[in-house]
Amino acid sequence: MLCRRDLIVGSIAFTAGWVGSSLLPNINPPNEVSHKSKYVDVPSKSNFVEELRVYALEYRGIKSLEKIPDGDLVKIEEALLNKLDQIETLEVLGLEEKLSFIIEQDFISEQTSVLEGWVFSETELQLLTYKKGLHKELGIAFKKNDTEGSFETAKSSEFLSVKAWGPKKTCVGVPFNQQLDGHSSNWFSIVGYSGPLEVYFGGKKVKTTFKGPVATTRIEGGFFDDLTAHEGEHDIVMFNPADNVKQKIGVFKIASKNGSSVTQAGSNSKAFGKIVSWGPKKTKKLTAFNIQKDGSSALWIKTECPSLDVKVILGGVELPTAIKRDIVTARVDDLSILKSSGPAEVILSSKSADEQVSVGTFHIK
Amino acid sequence: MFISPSELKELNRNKVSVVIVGAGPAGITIAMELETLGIDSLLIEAGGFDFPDEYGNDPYRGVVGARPYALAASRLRFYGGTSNHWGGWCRPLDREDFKKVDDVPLSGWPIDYDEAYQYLDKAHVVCEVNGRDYDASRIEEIKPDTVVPFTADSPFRTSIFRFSPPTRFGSRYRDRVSNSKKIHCILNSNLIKVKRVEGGKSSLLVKLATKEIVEIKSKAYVLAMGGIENARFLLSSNQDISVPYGGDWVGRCFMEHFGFKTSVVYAKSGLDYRRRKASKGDVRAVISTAPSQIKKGLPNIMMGLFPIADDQFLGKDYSKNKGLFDFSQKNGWHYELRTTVANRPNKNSYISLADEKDVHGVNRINLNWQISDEDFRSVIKCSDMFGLYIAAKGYGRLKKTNHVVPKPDKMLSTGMHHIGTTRIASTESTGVVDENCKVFYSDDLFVAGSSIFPTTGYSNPTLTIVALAIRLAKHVAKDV
Repeated sequence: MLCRRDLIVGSIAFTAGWVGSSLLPNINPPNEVSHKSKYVDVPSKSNFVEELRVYALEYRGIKSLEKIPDGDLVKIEEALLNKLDQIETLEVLGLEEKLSFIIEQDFISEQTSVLEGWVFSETELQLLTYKKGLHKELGIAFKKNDTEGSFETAKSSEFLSVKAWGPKKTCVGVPFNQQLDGHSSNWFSIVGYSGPLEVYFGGKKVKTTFKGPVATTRIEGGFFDDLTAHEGEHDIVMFNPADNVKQKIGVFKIASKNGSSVTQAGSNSKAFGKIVSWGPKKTKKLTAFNIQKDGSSALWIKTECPSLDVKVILGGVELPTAIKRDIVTARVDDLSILKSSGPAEVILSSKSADEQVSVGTFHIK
Repeated sequence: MFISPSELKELNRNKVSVVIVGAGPAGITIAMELETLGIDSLLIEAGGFDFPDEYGNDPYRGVVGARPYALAASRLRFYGGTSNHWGGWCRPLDREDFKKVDDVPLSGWPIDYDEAYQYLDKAHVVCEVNGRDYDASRIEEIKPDTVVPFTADSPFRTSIFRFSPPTRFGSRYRDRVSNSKKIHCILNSNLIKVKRVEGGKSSLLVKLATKEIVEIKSKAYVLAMGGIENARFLLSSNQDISVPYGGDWVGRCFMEHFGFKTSVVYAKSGLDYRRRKASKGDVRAVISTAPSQIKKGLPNIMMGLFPIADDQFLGKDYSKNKGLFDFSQKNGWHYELRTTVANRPNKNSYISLADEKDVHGVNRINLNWQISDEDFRSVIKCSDMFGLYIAAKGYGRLKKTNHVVPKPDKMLSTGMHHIGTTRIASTESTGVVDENCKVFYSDDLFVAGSSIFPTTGYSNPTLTIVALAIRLAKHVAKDV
């Protein structure tokens, strides 16, 4: 079996050093291409000239030729062919094996060039320049390669496991899992996957951050407005752009509010749907009601799609408020707010929406 | 048992054998080991059982030099110490970390790996780490196709971290301390000063929760207060004595692990340098410097590759160019190359006393953490070397994204590991404590914790702190 240690360049034997030599590239003959016969201007005695031209034109994985430096096509071809012809081997080698060896040696001897930050071997960069020149000279349009995958063309595959995720729904126009800066967010607990990952909502890519096994989305601005504008369901799909595969994780539901509460200003509330029910509605002066495990009293209000920053106000006093699904609960720790008999208005308040909605009257007897 | 200030006074009259200051991983481990050896100890903790209030945490405030550093946030002043926010990363230092390297001034320990890690197995037990094997090739869950391949002559190698649950020493060993008749632990008591008394002996001035200051005398004292406080109290205690504890090196050579992202790497998709499940507990693979390169003066650095968004210039199918890569059947992907390394020992990276005093009247500290340009350049050099290696081997390409030495005032991500300020050495000409962790120019004062590390690699210090704490307890037990 031939290995690269058998290669001799001129009279100099290459030593592998710490890099060693383990590559045995797959060699396939280049396909016949239509431009082959068109390119006749550059004279060369090398056996590799046609192969090199095909290889360069088929060279892939570069997204744009614009950043590649221009060069004298004839001189670059000559330089590349010279490098290829200088390699004398015990066995006949193909173009790709020779290029592989030359590029390997470039890196070992630190003959490198930096383009767009990437450290290429000098020969590799010559190939890129050569490719650019050929496209220009032959008038062949540069195309991104076919294997450049996209979400739309990705194959469906079970490539990861999502242990849990949420939230899975919100209401029209209502933020969900709202973060300090106001953006909405979903979280995904992912098991046993370390590759690149993108998250799509209804076919649209969303900003996503990964920390350890948890991915979190950032949904805000126009994207949030579009997503939550109407009642409906949106597939949540994870996409591995490296392997061009995607996997449906579930469905995110935008529920209808079935109408809105009316704000104290008289408009339809953006922050609160209809008040379905609430209670308790009365107590005696300075007397605990609906007593909780911690000894506090509690009000509950069932409402559709409450705003996450909801606060309950009782008789003008803002209460510690919690929300679980569509139930808003508010704690009365200090019974002194119940010291005066009479009606006390219960209000739902949202600072983010700058709204207050009247729930009803709590009677203190 | 946990004792009150009045019980402490009673205990002090009868003299306890060993006094340990600081109930973090080192202090608690020493107390437990001494108990096993039948030696009684007094464990003094500045905090209580929970996060301190502003007054309690006041001594952790200090001044920092040009480079910002989270002095208070990197420490926890309550029972269990920094184990209360420990991430659980465990790995012994490498053998090479103990060796002197010709091109690295002040490198090398006076004890070797085997001496330092006599009690490594026991340290694993204390830290509740099940696996002991750190050879990546023997860990089934580190699949070869998920890491960059290296051979014996490669400039890098694959290394392994293991993980403690993490052990919160305070809660995990609270019952043991509480039920012990040999361990006496007093909370909310602050060391004020190490005092020299006659004949090379010492005593401790300690301010109790009652605000009363008592002088505690014992046969041996261990400072286990953390890498900054150990130095602060030696410096503070040295202010008015003619023969200073530990000599000129106290507070010098402050080291810390810092992160530095230099590059992006294109390599085959599916590389995995995250924490993963394994039969003997979670493991994480990292890329680290090979011994051959450490001998040549390169730092023992840790690197990991983490997927990032696609690149604007190099597409994922660049690997499909025949002859260029060893994974031409697969797409490649882009990874952020994250490096972690400690600055090398440098006398000008130091802790000194600030003029301002804390609520107990002890000088605050001034931290002047200096990372030399050479330290940063050596990280860049490692990254570049890794880039050349993977390119020559057909494993990938490297993109230089940040090859500029950060300005001295740039805040860096850190490991919150305070290393080197009471360094271990053969003689007082290069260190603060001797091979047995006894402070030079003292007969009865010892130091425990990462402040004694004279050099370090990338390994997190806790496992080593615990292993050395057990070793120190064995030694102190012989002394008393």
